[in-house]
Amino acid sequence: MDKSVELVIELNGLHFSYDEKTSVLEDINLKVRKGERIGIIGANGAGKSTLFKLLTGLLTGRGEVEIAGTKLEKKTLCEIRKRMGLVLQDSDNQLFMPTLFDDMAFGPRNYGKSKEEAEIAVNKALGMLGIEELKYRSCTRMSGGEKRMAAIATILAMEPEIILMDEPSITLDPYNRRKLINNLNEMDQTLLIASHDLDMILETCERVILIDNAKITADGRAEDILSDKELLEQCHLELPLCFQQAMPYNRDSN
Amino acid sequence: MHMADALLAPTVAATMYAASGITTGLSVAKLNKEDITEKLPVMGVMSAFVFAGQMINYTIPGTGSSGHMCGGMMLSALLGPQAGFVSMAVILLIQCLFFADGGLMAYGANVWNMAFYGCFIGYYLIYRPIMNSNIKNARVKISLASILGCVITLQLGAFSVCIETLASGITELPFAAFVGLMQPIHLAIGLVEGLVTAALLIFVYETRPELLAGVNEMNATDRMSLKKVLIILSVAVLLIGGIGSQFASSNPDGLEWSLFGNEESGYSANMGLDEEDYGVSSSLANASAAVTEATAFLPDYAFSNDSENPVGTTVSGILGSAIVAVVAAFICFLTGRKRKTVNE
Amino acid sequence: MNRITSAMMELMSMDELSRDSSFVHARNPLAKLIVTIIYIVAVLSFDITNLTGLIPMVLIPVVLFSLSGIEIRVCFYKLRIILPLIIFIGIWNPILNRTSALDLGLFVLTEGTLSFLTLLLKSLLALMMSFILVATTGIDGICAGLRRIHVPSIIVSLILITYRYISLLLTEAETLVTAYTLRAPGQKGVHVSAWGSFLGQLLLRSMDRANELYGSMRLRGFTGEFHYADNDKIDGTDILFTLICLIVIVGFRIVNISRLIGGIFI
Repeated sequence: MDKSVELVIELNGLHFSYDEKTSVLEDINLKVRKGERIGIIGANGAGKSTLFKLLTGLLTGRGEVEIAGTKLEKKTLCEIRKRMGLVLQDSDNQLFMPTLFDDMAFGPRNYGKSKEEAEIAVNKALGMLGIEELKYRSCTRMSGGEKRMAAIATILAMEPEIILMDEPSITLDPYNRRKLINNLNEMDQTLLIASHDLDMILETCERVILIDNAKITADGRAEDILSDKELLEQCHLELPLCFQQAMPYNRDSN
Repeated sequence: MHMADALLAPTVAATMYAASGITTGLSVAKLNKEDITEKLPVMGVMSAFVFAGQMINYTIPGTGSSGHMCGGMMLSALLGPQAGFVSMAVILLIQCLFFADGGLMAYGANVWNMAFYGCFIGYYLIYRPIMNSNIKNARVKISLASILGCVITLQLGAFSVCIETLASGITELPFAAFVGLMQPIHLAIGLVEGLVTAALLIFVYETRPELLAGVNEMNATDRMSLKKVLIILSVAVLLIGGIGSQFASSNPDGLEWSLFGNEESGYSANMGLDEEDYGVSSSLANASAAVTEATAFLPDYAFSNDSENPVGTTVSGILGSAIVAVVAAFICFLTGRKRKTVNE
Repeated sequence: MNRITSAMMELMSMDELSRDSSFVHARNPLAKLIVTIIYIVAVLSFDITNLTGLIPMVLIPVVLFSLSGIEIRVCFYKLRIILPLIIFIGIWNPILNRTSALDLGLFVLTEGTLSFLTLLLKSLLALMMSFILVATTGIDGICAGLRRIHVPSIIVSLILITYRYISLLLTEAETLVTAYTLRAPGQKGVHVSAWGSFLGQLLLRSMDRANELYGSMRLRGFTGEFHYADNDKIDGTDILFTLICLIVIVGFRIVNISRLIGGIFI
């Protein structure tokens, strides 16, 4: 691996289990370089969300987690969370303040930014996603697509170096999904995206990690892994649609 | 059970506000000592849950009616009494503001009648002692605690409604009759609420026991016998009954009025006495004066000048009222028209 | 329509109303809160037989309603919640107190009837005024007002979070009820056999949601303190509005306007 590129995430022998009997994640070793975009795929319950919770310290397992050269411990939690944002699967759990502005300023203000600084960060994030019109809107009056963008905006406003996203394209209609993909491709942060939407992963990520049976079973270029029909099917996944086009549509074939 | 604004005199409302305010202040102080960051989101979502949960109807077997769950007991069991109380107070505020369930002035009274009894009395005197008792079967224990808790705290709440209404001097209903009407109704409600709450808590106990605060924490030496629990309960009941009767005897005029006063008013009505002459000494005026006196923690009715003529129905008064009504209707009419033209 | 749906509709319609703009909407929440409270105290302080003195008080909410552009009848719907208890308690007055208050020959108005009518009017007035406060202010405005009078931040935040999640949990509860009733035709409510698990499911979901929410707050550095974009300045108009309202309220309370107006003619 090229030493000159800064490592932002380093996992060494990470283990996690909820009940000490069955492990959810086992011996996870992972190195992520700055600016990389990684798709994390795997069947339902493979441990994708758990991995994100371990990375942000919401859960603690055995093994080492190092974020941007800082070891994840109780006393470094605040430091690390400042640099890392997690977009939850259910946007409703991320939006709880009266207006989107309050929600977006929540993180920056908690990390010690003044009102004015926070507002600058908020405006920047809104501009990046092109949702300025939502600024003073209450999240109860947003559509699903708007909520998703709003949830991402609350994280962007914190100006993190690493962004983790849990199923960002779920519940989005094709138009909003396309908008999301375009936005993701414009970001310059290190991105980790967990999703079943393999087409979106293919369009946004250059590297893919496949988690199956609590372990990383594949780690490599997105095109390679996502075109490997046998591997994907073994892990209860399916080829992305763009690789399936050779097949003619036939309702009776299944 | 929600007390309404109109049933309260300002002094009573203020007294209840003070009582609830102090309890809230103490609870918040206690909560602030703990790690509130974790409790806050849980309390918020749980309040919302109680709100949503109370909207679900449960069919009572054998009857056509339905019941709901009891919020205070459940919140205390899951969050502890202080957090439960504050959450309950927030639910009541939202009900009062957005659903007109209770009123702004009656809010203090409602917090007291429902949140205080349900969360503190219900938890410390009923729920916790029973949960710590040496009953082996958890289901029995939870059911007993929930049902007794709901029934007793609801009885206390209903009794408070009676006292507050009486102290406000707005009803002619004799105190005894009022209590006699309120308590049995709330006994039935309390039973059903207790059953629903018990069913819910048993479900939680069987699926996620760690959520129930303090069910398993107690070690065997702390466990009390059922006898002890019952003794504590009866002492509590006696105490509360004692305070109630104390109130009654310290306010003999009011009670006397409500128990015997009506004969008198009946006589005066039969005799067709003129209110101009007898207005001052009418039983009603006596009663309000007595109640006002008894509740005069604050200067009551400071700007009232109608005491010489409590009825205040002179012909000019009626005429004036009619004119005001016409003016009010006219304003409504004007606004209606304005909106119409805007729409067009 | 079941109770859950109607609760949701009610929340939504209040929210809708508070988003209009008008002179009353534009007033500072604190100014409206003070006026509302003083008004209700004044209304409640009327003697229970002083109906004529109370009637002019109706003008204040009527004027505020017309200034805000909200139709008065919208708030009458909410009367259904408080009226049962009021009637239950008040109906005994006309029955028990038959002292004549006004003898018009054919029709005798008794003190009991008078006090019952006063009671009804009082509850109507208190409701109208609270309604106009909430309908023109909205939850965030009310919370801003509460913060201004130094209500502990934990309570204000709790109100906001609760309000935020009520609509979500109502939706979840509605889904559960729908799923239940579709499979249990003819039942009016949840059957006794499902009492615990039905509500329990909702509870567990709520708990999970609370944990997720807590996680998302922690990740954004939450330490228990909320920062809001407070830009509710009290301006001259607010002060003038409050003063005028208070003068009118106190004036109406002290002087029996009905008798005054009637006196002009007689």
